[in-house]
Amino acid sequence: MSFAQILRGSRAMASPKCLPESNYSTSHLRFPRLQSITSKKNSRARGDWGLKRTLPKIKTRYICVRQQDSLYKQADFQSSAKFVRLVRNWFDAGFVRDPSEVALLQELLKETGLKDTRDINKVFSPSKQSDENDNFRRYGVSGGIQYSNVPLINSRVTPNCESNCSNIRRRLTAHIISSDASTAYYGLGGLILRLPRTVVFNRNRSSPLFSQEQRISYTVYKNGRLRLVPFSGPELETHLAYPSEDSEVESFFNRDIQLVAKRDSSLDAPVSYQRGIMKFFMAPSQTSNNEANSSEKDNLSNS
Amino acid sequence: MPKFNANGLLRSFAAEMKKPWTAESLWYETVAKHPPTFQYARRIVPLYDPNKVKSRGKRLRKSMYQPQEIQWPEDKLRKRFYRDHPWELARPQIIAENDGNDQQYCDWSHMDQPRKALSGESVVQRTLWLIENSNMPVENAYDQARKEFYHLRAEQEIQQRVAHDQAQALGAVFTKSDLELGYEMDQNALNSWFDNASQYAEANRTKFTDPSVDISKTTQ
Repeated sequence: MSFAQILRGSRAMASPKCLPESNYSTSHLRFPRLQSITSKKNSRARGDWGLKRTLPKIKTRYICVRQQDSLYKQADFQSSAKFVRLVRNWFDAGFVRDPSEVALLQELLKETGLKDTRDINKVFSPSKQSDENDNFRRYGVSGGIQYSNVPLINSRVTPNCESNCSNIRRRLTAHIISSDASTAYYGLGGLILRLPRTVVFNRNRSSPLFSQEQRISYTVYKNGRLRLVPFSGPELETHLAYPSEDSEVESFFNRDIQLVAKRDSSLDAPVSYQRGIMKFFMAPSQTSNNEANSSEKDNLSNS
Repeated sequence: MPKFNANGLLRSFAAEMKKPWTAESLWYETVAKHPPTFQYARRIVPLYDPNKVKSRGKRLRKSMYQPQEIQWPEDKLRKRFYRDHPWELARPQIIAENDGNDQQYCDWSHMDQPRKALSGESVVQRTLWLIENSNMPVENAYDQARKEFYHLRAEQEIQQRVAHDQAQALGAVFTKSDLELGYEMDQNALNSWFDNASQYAEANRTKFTDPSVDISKTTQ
């Protein structure tokens, strides 16, 4: 073979160097622009990465080369472990295509007679719904491990601030202290949030370090939507008894909540209420007692 | 005049040799007997494209002897593929050669190669093969190669997940992934912050409370 053919078929020529760079800073880059290069362990020890010149001993395992031969007769290279690790973490997180979206695309393919799912983007442009979670919709994935939901929860919590400084609702940063497996399925009491102090108006009149401790529940639906509800005992019926998804009506989760609500309603609330009224009337004086007795007699006569 | 004149250098070396404290070089006698007769750099003229040379205008003579850029049809295909799929660049490749005959071991009538990992280069070579053997236009050949690539990539991912599940079912224990380690580090940072904040609040309790208010009653 001639030198030209060997050069054309070599691996160094096959590595692309075609995406222009505006500047050398790569901390702001969102996607890689140069090929990530690695080498075997023994070759790395000798500094042999397949380039024109050997490189010194470096700790990183993945590099990208801007120039093999610069003006100073050195290889201009830098680490590219950032993107390599990101790709690996993406697969470790277990993201998969949203099944409902895949089914929708299949139906659209049958209706329109197109052959490729990528062609649908040219025909249809779905409008963006406000109630959907942009973080997941952007990537077209659903669910994943709980770790990926942590930054979403931090950015969405907006509890009432019950301090002397102000009664206006405002956005506060919440720190997640603990979570357990029940959160993934029920969304009940899985997280404990502690809201740190944010404002100090006066030296002696500031609120405590932790204004309040609040338990919050969240549910991740199959379409990637996230639902956050501050949880408190007496408000159980108003917050969690009404499902917002059709598939949630007949689910085990909803039945459990309904049972809890019924059990709470069957307690002795009205009797205690009446007893309170009786005590209130009997306390002041004997004449009031007589009136109470007369009222009781009237009730008996009515019945 | 050229910048470096071989005969001039030889003449200056001859002057240096006359000095008594200078030792004679080994090559001096041979070069003195057979001095160079012409410039080698300008003797060999590379093949050049007239269109590129004409575009330079008055700098014709200067650009004629400059080394020209090497271009192949694969370059455009590579540029297009990696512009469409930039995250393929994040899959590390080994460019250290073993014997330099990689192209001879590949048969590009099909995309999957036993001695080569699946990458963007497979799409490029497959496209060229389709253009030459099937008489396809570039667009159709590129699309077909791209779809074959997607199919093989999906198969690869499914095989990896299945292998992982099988290994776990048979009792393999994997180390913690980067995500789990990051989660633990986050929790440790929050725990340490919580401890420090609690100690700080306890130490400076009087600063943060109004002395006129009885704390014991409020806590109850």
